[in-house]
Parts: sequence; structure tokens; C-alpha cells
Amino acid sequence: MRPVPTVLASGEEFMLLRRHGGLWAAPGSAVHACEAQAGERVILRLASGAQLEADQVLGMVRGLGVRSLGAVLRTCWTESARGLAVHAGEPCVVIDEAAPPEALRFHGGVASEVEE
Amino acid sequence: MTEMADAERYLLLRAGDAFCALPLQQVRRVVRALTIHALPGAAPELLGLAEFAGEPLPVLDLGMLLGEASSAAAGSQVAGVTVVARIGDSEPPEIAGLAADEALEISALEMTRGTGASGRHGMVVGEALAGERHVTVLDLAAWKAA
Repeated sequence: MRPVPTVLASGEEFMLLRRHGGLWAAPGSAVHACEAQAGERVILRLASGAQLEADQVLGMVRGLGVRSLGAVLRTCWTESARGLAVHAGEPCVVIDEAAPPEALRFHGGVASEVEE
Repeated sequence: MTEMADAERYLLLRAGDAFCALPLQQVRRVVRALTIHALPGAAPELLGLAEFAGEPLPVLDLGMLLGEASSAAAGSQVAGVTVVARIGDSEPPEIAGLAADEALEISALEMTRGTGASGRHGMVVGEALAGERHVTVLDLAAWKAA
């Protein structure tokens, strides 16, 4: 029998991103601005001020069942996150807008050009 | 023939050249290797995330948990199986996947040597003989963060 999952934000809207081959979800309410770059690449600015880079924005989704990170993830992954979810059969990391993972952080030089 | 209780039975697994035994009562399912999505920034023993029964599942490299310097499960193109198992002793139980090359058999074992908690994350608890094969005995409930 599966453990009872912890659903943290089932009704919230999330922006689904592809980065480094993985699937990530950013809380829609935390995305302040975004700008398309060359190809499908997108730079996002969060309300927290953090800027993220995605290889592709897949769209918005509502109703992700967000499970809290377990001890394995907390031990073996250096980043923090709001939790994990599954979308269309693929696991997805739901980012913590206050501390987005390094893999998504934008370090390029056009940060100030992101339009609101 | 006497029925073995689950508590006495172990699932024997192979990861590269290493053989290990998991208490059967900690094993939920053995499935063909799940597709693993790498997680940037993860420790080497965490291969990534998979989906199992509609839930996200962290998948660990069994070979590395056994203390192998390099893991055949991670190094090969495709690990043979994913063992879905209870890990740690939390309630509700935490479920994780273990990537292994092969699930061999279910067997009753007697520990020949206790090792205390060793190996990565302290889950190696002893050794046993399965036929003529030396196997490392794991206790997933002994998961430690360090």
C-alpha cells in the first residue's frame, strides 16, 4: 500500500518548465515576468527577485498534487524545494520561489532586460 | 516444509559484482527498471526521480549504498530492475526506488557476521551466505542522513 501523500497545494496554478532535461514547476503566483530568448529559452523573474532560466515553458497547470520532500531527497539533494509532483507521468520538482535551485538560476547578463 | 515468515525472508539482488539481501518485509514491488530523470545537484547515490503508481519516487543506486566505489547499476545504460521499497522508519512510510541489475530470488538467510551500521547511509548491517554466495545484508529502516 502506498503511503498517504501530503498534498500541499492541489488547487494552485503552476508554470511548468523544462530545464536540463528535467521537469520543474514554479508557482504561478510567484512568476512576475518572463521573456522569450532565442529558440524556446525563457528567462523568468520571480516576485522574490530571483531570475530563472528555462529551456522551454510547457504551460500552466492547475491541480498538481504536491508531495513534501522525504528524508531521501532532503539528505541526497543539496537544494530546497516546496515538494515533488507528477505531471503526465513525469516526476516534477516544485520549486521554492524563495530559494530556487541552482540548476534553474539565471546567471546571464540580460537580467535587467526582462520585461514586466 | 515450513512456511517462512516474511521477517525471515530476504530478496537477493545483484548490483554490478555485488550481491545483497533486503528484508522482504521492506520490499513493496520489483518492477522493470523505471525511467529515471536526473536531478541536478543530487548526491551520486541519488540517480534521480521516477514515477511509480502516479507518485514521484526518488531512485537510489543500490551499488553505491553497498559501498561500491562505482556502481554497475548507474554505469550501465539501463539497470535491470527497480526495487520499490520502504526506507527509513518514518510514519507514514517513505518509499524509494533502488536501481539494481538483477533480482535473483527470495531466500531465508542467517546472518554470518553483523557489521553494525556501515556503508553509505548506514544501511549495511551484516553478511550472510546464500548458497555459496556471500551477500551483504541491508536494513533499509536503518537509513541515516549522514
